[in-house]
Amino acid sequence: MRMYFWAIKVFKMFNRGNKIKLFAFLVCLSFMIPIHVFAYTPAEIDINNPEHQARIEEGQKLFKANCAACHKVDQKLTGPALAGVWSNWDSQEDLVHWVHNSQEVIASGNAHANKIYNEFNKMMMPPFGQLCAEQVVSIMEFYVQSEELGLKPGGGAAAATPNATVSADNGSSSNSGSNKWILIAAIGALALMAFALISITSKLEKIVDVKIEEREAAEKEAKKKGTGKKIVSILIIFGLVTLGYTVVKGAIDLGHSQGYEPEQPIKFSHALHAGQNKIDCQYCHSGAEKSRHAVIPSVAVCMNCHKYVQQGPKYGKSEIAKIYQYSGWDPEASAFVNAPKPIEWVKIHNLPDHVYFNHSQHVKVGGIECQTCHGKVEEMETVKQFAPLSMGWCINCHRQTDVQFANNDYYSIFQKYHDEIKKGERASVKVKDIGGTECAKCHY
Amino acid sequence: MLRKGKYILTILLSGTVFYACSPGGNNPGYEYMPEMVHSVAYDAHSENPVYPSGYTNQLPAEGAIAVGKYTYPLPNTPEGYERAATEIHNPFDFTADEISKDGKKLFLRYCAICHGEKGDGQGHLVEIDKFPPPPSYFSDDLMSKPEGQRYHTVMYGKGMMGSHASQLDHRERWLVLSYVKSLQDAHSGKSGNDSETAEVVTKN
Repeated sequence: MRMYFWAIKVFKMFNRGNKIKLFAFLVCLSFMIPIHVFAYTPAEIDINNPEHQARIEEGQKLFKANCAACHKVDQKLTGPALAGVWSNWDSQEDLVHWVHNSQEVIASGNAHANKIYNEFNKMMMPPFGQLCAEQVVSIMEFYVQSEELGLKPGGGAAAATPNATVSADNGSSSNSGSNKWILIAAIGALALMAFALISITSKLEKIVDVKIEEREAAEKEAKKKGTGKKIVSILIIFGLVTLGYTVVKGAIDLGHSQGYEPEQPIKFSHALHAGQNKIDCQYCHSGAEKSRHAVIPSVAVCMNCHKYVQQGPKYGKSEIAKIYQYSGWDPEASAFVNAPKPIEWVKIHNLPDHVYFNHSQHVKVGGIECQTCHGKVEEMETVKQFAPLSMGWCINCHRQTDVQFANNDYYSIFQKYHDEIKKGERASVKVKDIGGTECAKCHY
Repeated sequence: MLRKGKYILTILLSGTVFYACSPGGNNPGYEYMPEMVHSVAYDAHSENPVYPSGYTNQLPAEGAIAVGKYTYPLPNTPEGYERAATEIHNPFDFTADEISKDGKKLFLRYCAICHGEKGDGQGHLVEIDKFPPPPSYFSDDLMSKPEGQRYHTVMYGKGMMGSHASQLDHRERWLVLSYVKSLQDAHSGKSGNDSETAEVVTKN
């Protein structure tokens, strides 16, 4: 069949009189004949033929169940891309034989089988004896071809792909923007007010400078005149209180970075990974139960999924391409080719150096949810510091939180409390009862 | 005369300054006594000018084995995978309670996202079409997979599955695998026998 197409092509070239092209073509052809002359042509698909539609659907189902773990039509995964697979095989029988028992085909000395086997580091494709020849053809010829040519039977296939591109950041940024404007407006208003106050007080000072009699007279006069001065003084007091509050609150919050939401080198979305995809926090932050640090996952953990997932719903390929750059992965070659380099994530939750904090103590022993201190990270597009992480905040929690005493080996040593709970003298044990508010617990 | 004005001006200015210092976006806010806040020693994950690689977290010297830690002896090659079948065995003797509680917890955290809570290869990521389905634990191939090869797979990954060696330690890997085995035992009990014997098998 293929020879026939070539013959037509050659004939056309003659007609055009393109001799050089023809010569080049013939040279190429002479090289290709020993390899490709036996490549077979797959069944031609007629998308309007219900029989063919049924076979495409069957192929798709079987592909998902049996092949999708290692193969994609247009992309090399664990195994080769399946597009144009027939052009590599001498006959349909050989291809079916390969699927049924690849080892046998390799042993038989088939050139392409051995080439593929060596190309993929002698990784064996498991035998799929349960698929009959017709099913293999449904997958390889009907489904793969339909994908390649973009043919979709009915539209059932299109409907089956879930709509996973829900953007999770409706208005969070505009929200913080409006807050900023309110702040600026408030500061402006305060500045205006203060300016008015200064001019008023300086005028008042001038009045003070006037002789006492005159001042008294003036005061009397003012009293007579009405409440204008009273309003001014109420305004002054109000202004001073507001400003005082701002100063004190600002001074207390100094050094607490609550609300800190820095840009990260990769626009990693927790809303997507932990929210929509429901990946457990500790899948990546696997140190939280075992060590002081919750651990920033290594790029290798990213690559567990992103060898396959090359495109995100929001930024497309650009952000995931950054992971490949850091890890040295070449998606074309499906291999790590370059030296990896660390991703410089910006640390958000910083405790001062004079405070000791241990994740495993809180997560493993205490059974505290991540969200208690970090907020609803699974809804955050970019992570933001949720808690003030101030000493008052720590101590408050230690005073109010019940220790999980029941069935917790870690606290079996507190015999007195266990006895008291048994006798009913004590309802619960707070963290402060076991030394949770002692200075040296965290500062040493 | 201007004294009061100065006071007010000071308060106003400090108010404005404190507003301006409040953290948000790329601004972490201001801090006082930074020498008490920032560690003199290099923190984990931090940059480090001492090492040529430039970071604090260092791999142990090649061939070093930390006290009490386990080093997997087989290489990440097809031969290593073959050898794992006979050479690698579970050294732990977990109680049924450990497997059904801790093992299950680890399984749900690290495996179920793709392999499915039941182990049928229909995890959440597969259901929402983000990741291709892994083979079911109950396929003939996986039912009869030697435990050493299972460990090898967790260690280095296989096919689309990546290595989970950095997330699970030696004991946890065997604990998860024991839970998977218990899923398979329960399944073979259910499908292979009638319901009465199935109960006996799962209880055992």
